Amino acid sequence: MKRIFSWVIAALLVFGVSSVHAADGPFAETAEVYHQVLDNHLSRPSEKQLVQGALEGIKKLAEKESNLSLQYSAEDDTLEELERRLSEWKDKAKLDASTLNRLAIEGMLSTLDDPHTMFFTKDDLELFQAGVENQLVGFGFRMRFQNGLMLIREIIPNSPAAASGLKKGDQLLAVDGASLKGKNAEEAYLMLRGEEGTEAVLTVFRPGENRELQVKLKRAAITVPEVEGGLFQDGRIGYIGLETFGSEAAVQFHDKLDQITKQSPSLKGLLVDLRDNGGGYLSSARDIASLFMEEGLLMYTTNRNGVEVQTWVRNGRDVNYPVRILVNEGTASASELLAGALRDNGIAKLVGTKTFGKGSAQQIIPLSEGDALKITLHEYFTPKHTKVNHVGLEPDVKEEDYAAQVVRALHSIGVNSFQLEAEDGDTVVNGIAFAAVDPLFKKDEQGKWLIRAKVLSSVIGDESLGANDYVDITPYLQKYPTLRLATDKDAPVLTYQVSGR
Amino acid sequence: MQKKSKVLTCALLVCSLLVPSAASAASSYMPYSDISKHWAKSSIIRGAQYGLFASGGSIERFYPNRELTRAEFVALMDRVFVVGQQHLYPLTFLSEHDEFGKGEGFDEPYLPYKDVDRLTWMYGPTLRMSVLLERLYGPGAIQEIFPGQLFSPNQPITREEAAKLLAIYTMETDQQKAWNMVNEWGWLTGRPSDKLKRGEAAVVFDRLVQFLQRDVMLPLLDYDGQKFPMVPEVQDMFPLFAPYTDQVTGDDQIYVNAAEAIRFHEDSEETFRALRKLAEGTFDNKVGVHYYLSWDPDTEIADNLEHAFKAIDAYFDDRIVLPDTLQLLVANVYDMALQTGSTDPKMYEKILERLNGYEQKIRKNTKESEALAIYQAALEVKVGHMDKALEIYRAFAPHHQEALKNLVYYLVQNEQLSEAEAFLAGLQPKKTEVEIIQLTRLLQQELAIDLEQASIVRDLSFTMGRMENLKGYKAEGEAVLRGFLVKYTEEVDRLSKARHATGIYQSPQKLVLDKWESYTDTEKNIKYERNFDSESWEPSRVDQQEFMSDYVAGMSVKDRARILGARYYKQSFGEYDIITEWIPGDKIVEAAQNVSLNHGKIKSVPVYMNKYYIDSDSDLLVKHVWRYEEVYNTQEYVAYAGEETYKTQVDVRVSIPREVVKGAAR
Repeated sequence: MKRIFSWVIAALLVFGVSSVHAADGPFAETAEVYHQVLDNHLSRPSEKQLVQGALEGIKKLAEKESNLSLQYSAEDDTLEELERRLSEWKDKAKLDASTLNRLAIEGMLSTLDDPHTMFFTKDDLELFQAGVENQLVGFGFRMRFQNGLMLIREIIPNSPAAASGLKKGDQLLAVDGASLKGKNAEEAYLMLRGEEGTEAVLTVFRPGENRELQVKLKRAAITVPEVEGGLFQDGRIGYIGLETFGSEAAVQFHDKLDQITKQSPSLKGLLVDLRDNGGGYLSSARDIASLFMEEGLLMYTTNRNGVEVQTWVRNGRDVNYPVRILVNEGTASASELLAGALRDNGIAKLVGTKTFGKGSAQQIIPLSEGDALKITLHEYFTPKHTKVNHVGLEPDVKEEDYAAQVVRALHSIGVNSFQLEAEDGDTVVNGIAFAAVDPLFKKDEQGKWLIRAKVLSSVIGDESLGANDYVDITPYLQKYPTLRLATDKDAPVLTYQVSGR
Repeated sequence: MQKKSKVLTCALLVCSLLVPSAASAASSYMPYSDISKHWAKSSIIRGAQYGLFASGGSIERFYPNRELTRAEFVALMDRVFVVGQQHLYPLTFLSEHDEFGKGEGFDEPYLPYKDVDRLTWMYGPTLRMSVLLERLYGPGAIQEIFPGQLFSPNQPITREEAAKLLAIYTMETDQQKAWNMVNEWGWLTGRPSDKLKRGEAAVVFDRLVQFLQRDVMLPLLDYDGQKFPMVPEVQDMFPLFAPYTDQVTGDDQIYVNAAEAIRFHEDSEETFRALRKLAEGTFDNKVGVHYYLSWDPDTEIADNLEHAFKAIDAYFDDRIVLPDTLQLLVANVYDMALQTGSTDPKMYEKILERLNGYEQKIRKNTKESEALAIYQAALEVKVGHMDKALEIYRAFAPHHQEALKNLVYYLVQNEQLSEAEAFLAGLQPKKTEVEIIQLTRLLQQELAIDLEQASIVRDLSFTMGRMENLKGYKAEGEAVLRGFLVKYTEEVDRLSKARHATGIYQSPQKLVLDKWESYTDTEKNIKYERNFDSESWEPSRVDQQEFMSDYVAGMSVKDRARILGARYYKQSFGEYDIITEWIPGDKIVEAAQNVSLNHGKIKSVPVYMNKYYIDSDSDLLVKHVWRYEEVYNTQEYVAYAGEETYKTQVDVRVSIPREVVKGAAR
């Protein structure tokens, strides 16, 4: 029973001296970040890379902002040299220490070619964590950015938006009179955000009523449920949508799934919607995976030292029905992890488009003064060793259209009767509404009903009509006897019965 | 900061864990609407007060006549563990700091059942019980009680199953006898196959909690060498020594304020100045004034001691018999004796002599005389007069718990085991003396364990010998050494005299894992360790002893028992024999005076414990768990804990690659 490791102790003695991370002085924070990144970042950055990056970052800004030309040596490659330059520049460029720290840190991080390693101020950190927990300050609606349009895809209950006249499907045109035309999602988000209690006037277009309207809203703190779901109208197939992997996600998912299986004890299938779910906590993803497998490999992770670790799901429960996971290009990180694990364990198939491709895991390290560093430590792989990072997961069933993804998922688990209609701009598939940018139905000049081609294609399984946006539905009604269109009250309802089943 | 040590306070923590909160302890407290006429009412109410049973809020009923489920019983066991853990600590080594049940290493533990879902209320308690049982009894222990792949958590628990779980607190060495043992302690009776109703379970846990609050399970076990001589717990260290009303004035007020300040650690120089003034004047509470003056952190300990004695003098001047007061005053003197005596052993003698002087002022065979005698005896032990100490203890041991424990402990130390047994056998406690009855049983059990020592040493030596004679084996382990968490696999090939280990470790200063690999040439005593940064192999000698634990690990079991005074405890459970080994730290320090360690001179060893799980068919080691804590003269504290499991049925071949040796030579 001999003690077997001694090298470890030698290692401590060696590193014990150099890695006292809690340094003193005006540039302590730069030093902290430098050590953390140097010792831990997945990419194994070199000392020189970090030092040069920090110096370069400050030099650039000084040139741009104050027309100052700062000089440093291309040979500078130690923390001591970096700190010496910083002190020098502090006097010369009249930059205060905290600005220098910020610039140096951003400069170092920019050399990593890793958008997920980032410096957080205390406020940034709170905002980030609130985002993961689905807590936000805002008006209480969720948006979807598609084809250049900002679409309200969900109104959060008990929020200012719910109390106002806003409706799902409204298109956001302007904020306080400033047009959103040509803005991307991030820019629009910046225009919408603001302090709790402040107000803004939103201009929206409502396609269903074909009119523009203005709504005045006050921003409030809102916690959004992470999970939504229910049964499709046949009562045999469940639907659970997950917005984020916050700390409540697993419990909410568990409760929702129990509620669904209680309503429908002989569930024939489940759709899990991970579209536009940007991820969150790994532990939540693992707990949710445990609702699908009693035991199974969740993932492999590797780090900079070539250490590969398996993470297992244990003491979960098996499902006895097929599962389809809806994915799109907004399905990222923990979502990809869960989707990949359930697919590789033979539990689920993926329907939709290729996923985002964020196959790395970060940890948040507190720095002094309440700041924090989010740092990439691991890359993960699916149980079959599929690479996710920068690659994304290919779906088993490919479909680009948001509503058609649902239809194809239902088809693939043997659903044989479909009912589609439009409601407030949403496309309602077998009783569950999904946000749509393009309406399901349109009338042409002659008053004939057109239907969105991709959706019709997914319903009848005719792949030849995917190229058009909208098609006249009449010929298909003749070709497919079980395809019917009811047009009472000017709200068409499409039904389809899969023949031969 | 107080100069006085806090020896007195330690014992207090033990009892306060499960004291019902004052709000719910009112006599009219009725937590449920369906128990007012139930026979187990008082146990149910106590259980609710302890927090064993959920009450309040939307919970209205207790359903005392419903059958209790397995999961519910396990959850109750889990809650009782809050009080039970310190009883079981010598057997589990699971400290309060460990996030119990979460796993101490890389891999989270999990249940061997398919029907306990991790997102349910029962998962945490069931997992923690499983971890506890596994630590006590070896791999897969919970399945010895609930066999198979299903736990069936909602199935009613039988009395026998319940008894098997309760048996962890009986110290019964043979799990087969769990039912009898639990019966004998009176916790649970009836037919083994009968179900247990919720009301009955309330009584079971009421009895268990009372049992656990009375005494620890191995009253004689002194694994850190700090327990004996044992003195009573002090209940209140800061009394006022006289009644005072809420509205006090004058000197009374000055005194009460000073005492309160000391009690709440808010005392200053001013506090003691005020007390000194009172001592010089005519203030009548001399006992209190001198007692609190003895707490002055700015005066020499000799002065403090004088005040401590003056307080006793004042007590006798008052001529009122208050045994509890006298006990506190003598405890105060004893506390200082321990502080001064550790550097100047002559102080023990001096203080003892002065204490002996008070004997004539007290009537013999009274509570008052015992209050003094328990400390006189402790000091007799300190000065080495064992016979005198035994004589004092013997006089009042039949009805005094600490005296009884000390008597039996020192009789055993004195190798008078049969006298200890005879003494216990001859005791005739009254029925109402439940503490003495329980303690006597526990002591008898422990003496029986003492008788087994030689045979346990033989058994363990035999197993170690079997392991040494294997051609090879494979060990998988997880350990923490000085904050480094390591997970490894080691292959040991005795034929080629080589070992190969691979693993990963987590440095406390890093966020990511590192690799680790080594080869050991056990013939030349050279270890080659991989430096993954420089991609080289680094040789080192392995015959030098780095830590104290290396020295102890190098000793045979027999030597550990003979030289280091190791104590052993053996249990059998399922397929395993479990041997727990405790080595008193003071003995290790004594024996190691002349041992040279790379790490320096050893100062103290607070904990040194091993646990061996032995397959009772093959006598081979299945698993080894350890926890060592060492303090060096440099004040460095080294903790080393871990566990290893052994695969002995494997064909292990290790040869040290040539490039390893060659690379290291460069």
